[in-house]
Amino acid sequence: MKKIFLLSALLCANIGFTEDRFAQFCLNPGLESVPILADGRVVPLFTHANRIKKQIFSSKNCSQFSATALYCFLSFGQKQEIFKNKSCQPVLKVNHQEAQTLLGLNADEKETSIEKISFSQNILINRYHALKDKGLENSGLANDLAGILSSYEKLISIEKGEDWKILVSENNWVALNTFKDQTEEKILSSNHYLNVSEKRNLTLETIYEKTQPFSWAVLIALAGFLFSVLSVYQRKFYPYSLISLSLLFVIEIFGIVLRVTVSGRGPVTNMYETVMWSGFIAFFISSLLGLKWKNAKILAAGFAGNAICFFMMKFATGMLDSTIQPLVPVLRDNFWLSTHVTSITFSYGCFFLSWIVANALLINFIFKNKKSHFVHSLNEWNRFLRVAIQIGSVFLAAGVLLGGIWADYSWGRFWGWDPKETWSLISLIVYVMILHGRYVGWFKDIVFTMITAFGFMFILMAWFGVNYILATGLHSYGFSSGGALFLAIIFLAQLSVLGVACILNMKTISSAR
Amino acid sequence: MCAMIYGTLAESRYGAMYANLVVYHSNWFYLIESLIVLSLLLSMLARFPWRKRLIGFYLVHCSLIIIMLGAMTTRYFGIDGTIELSPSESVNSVSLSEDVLYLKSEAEENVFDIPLSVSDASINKTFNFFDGTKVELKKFIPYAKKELNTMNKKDSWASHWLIKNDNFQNEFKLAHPPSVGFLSRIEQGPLKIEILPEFCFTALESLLDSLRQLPIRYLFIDTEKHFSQKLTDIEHAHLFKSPDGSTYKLTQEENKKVGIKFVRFSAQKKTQIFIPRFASEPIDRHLELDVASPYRLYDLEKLKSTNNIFLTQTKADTIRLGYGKSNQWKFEAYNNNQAILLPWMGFQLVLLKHWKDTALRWSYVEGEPNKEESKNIKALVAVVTKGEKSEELWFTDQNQTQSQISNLQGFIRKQLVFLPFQMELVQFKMDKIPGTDKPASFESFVKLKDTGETAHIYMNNPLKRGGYTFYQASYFQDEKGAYHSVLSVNRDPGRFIKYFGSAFLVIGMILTFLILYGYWKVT
Repeated sequence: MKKIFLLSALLCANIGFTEDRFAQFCLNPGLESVPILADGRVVPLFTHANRIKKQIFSSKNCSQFSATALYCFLSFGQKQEIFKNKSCQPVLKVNHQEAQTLLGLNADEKETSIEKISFSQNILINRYHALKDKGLENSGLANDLAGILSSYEKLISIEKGEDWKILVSENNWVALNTFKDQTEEKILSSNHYLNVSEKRNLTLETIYEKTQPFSWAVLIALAGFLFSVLSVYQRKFYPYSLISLSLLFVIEIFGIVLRVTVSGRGPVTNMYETVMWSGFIAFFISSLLGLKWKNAKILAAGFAGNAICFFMMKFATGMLDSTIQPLVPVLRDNFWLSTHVTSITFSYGCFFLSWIVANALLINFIFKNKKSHFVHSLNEWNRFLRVAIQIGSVFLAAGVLLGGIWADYSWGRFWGWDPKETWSLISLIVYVMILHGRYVGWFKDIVFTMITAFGFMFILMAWFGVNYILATGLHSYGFSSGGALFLAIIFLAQLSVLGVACILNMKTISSAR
Repeated sequence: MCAMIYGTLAESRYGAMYANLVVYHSNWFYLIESLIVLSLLLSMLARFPWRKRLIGFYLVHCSLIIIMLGAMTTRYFGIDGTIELSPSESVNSVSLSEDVLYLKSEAEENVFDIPLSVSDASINKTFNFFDGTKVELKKFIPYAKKELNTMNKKDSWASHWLIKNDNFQNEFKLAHPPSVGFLSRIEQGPLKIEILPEFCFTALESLLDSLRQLPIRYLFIDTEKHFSQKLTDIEHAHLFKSPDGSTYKLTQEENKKVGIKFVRFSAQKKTQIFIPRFASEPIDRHLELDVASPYRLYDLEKLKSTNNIFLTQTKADTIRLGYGKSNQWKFEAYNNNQAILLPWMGFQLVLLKHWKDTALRWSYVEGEPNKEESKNIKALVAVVTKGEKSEELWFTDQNQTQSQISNLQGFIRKQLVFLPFQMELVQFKMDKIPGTDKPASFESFVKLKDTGETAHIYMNNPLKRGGYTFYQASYFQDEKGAYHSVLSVNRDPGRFIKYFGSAFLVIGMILTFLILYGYWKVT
């Protein structure tokens, strides 16, 4: 309603004929599903424009325009249309302190205007190259500078009309600025030149982007968590948690299937997707076991794990990139990709679930008054942990071996001590050790819970740490930035929980004697 | 496990090669692996007599042993290397990861193993070549750093220059007499800069200054004997003697096939070829300039048509330089820190440092391993003796080293294995992701010379041939923009053992859990 009001307000406003023409064109909602070639893929304009808006405009600004309209105005050189509004200006994020100094910003200014960048562009470029010459191209400052510069260049190319690629005949994409006239007609009719599968993918991607199934999933998972926790105390909430469970299942399957269809490959090609898949698996396994044993607490753990993963996907955008991007050559083998990575992330999902349950138990243990009493009731839970770890270990072992076979098949060696390989082997050994320790009776009661919680730290290292901290090796196609701090915080938090639990456990044992 | 964690950390800091040598392929790591195998064996023996209920357990533990055995087979009997294919060039040599020292003297070639090490390793190996050259290998530095050394030496000098204009800048060092790594001449784009002994410089100066009047056309120089001879022509044979009695003979000959006139020069049983119209330095068998030779034959007409700069140090310790083209030559003394403006494209020449009575040489000391394998320098030092003379020579994997006292040449390269067939790159194809510069795929079309068939190799589609498997690994572009393809080559007799073990392992694990939870009843 608000949109329509704005649209009509803009149309009625006293603006010149040409501006009026562009306003009409750019605010046309039909424009959102027009195909555009971006980063090597055919995507709806809406998807691309949204990404650009996130990159170039601060999230709070420009809420009166849709991302598509903003992109359209910029591309057609109708800047004044947007910038009439003082609060709607392009701004880029500046995180690193030295980058702020280079741009002449104060320490608390985390954003910069475009004028400041165009003014000191050369300084930034020189600083970046100086860092690169020293081999520091992965440092925080270099990453920040590269981000600012590439966003700036993106904005310039949009304003020049180079960024918007229009389909003029089959497989022939032409930049917007090559046309003199009839551009609008060409854009609106470009849909016809798509082939059937492209057309289908475009529709599906529009649905995927519009419905945002994973954002809904966070809400439903939170609700489900609440209901299942409540149903532990009040049985009448149990049906509600079942309803949330089915809803969540449907919406996540819907989202994953859409994404898999659009990208044309298994749901595990970048960090975002592995988190998505593992979150789903954690939920799936807990639902299976929880329904089998009719245990609402297990359901709650699954909901919690799922909510954490999808929450991260929604808000940790610096670490997890949600865009669907073309694959690097080595990953272009659907069979191995789907089997190897899927089975490894499947195991991550299981271990993630065990981690959440173990920590919930530890926190419970810390705050329970009668420790020895609590330890007695642990066995059922430890059985659950053991099953989760067992399933996880089988999948991790299978995944590691499949990875070896794939590596042998495409690189010519089964095992090369690559960091990702080595760390997945390390985590496999850790979990196998935990299981062996359990069989022979080294780890009992709360000790087993503590070890299980700690075991996940190795998975985190293999999953994120190799990419964010070690950042080297053949698996470098999956590397992203900005997660080291996140990992450090989790490690520290986990260690403190373990420390406290350990001290309390010692006390319990000594008082029992 | 701690070892593996250390290994990955070492890799992120120092690169994969370093981590492999220090951790994964070290003896103590092998020891740990053997202990693991032993404990697996013992764990099964401890459960003797065998029970059917434990079938999953046996399978899992056996399979681990099988996988380890497979890995060992690969390690000791397998081949893992790379082959570099350049456009229309037949190759059959596969480089392995081990380094060797390649030495050549006259027609005799030899290859020496270099120990696998991450720190300085002393080697004590002596080899005598047929031509009387004795080589004693001393020390190998796997991660070396270049270091400039100076030595007091009479009648030697060297200088460090900077040449620049608005869009070009380069530094270079010249030495007289030339030594390993330091030449007496350098080409900087269209400019040729040469450092000469004083007598030679003055001879050129007097000739070039009055070029028009004199009938002299050629100048012959022996920089070792400090002897120069002016010649009016080279059409006739010339025979002349230096003050110490050496005889020189110059005769012009013609190669009828290619129609090139050249000058055959001989002195003390040594023969060299000059093509004065082409260069003042003699030419070796491979038609390359022998810049280390002490002899020069200058064609003064040629000097007129090219851009030359001559440098010298006089007895009075001043530096003089002469430059020019055609008949416009200028000879002057260099004043400290002054930049000389050259008559070409606004070039300026600045002396940064001068060493008098000093010989320069590169030596290598232990440096830090770099993560990027290509930035590491490997160096090996040897003492070369021939007759009375002896010198210390550094061989590296960067470029070829030539001995000053004998014909010995050498460099460090990878150990090679030769395939029973030749391969040739017919076409290299790279598809880019539409609208970007990122490669979507790269593919090599390779012709196998013995059967004549053409194989298509790309990511996830290797070529299998004669027990070897060829994988598309990477590619690079040379200066001319031509694509070269890099394939990794591999022969792995342990492959099926490992696959067999892997299958066993997964089946075993599943069985274990099935039996454990009572899904499958075994009595």
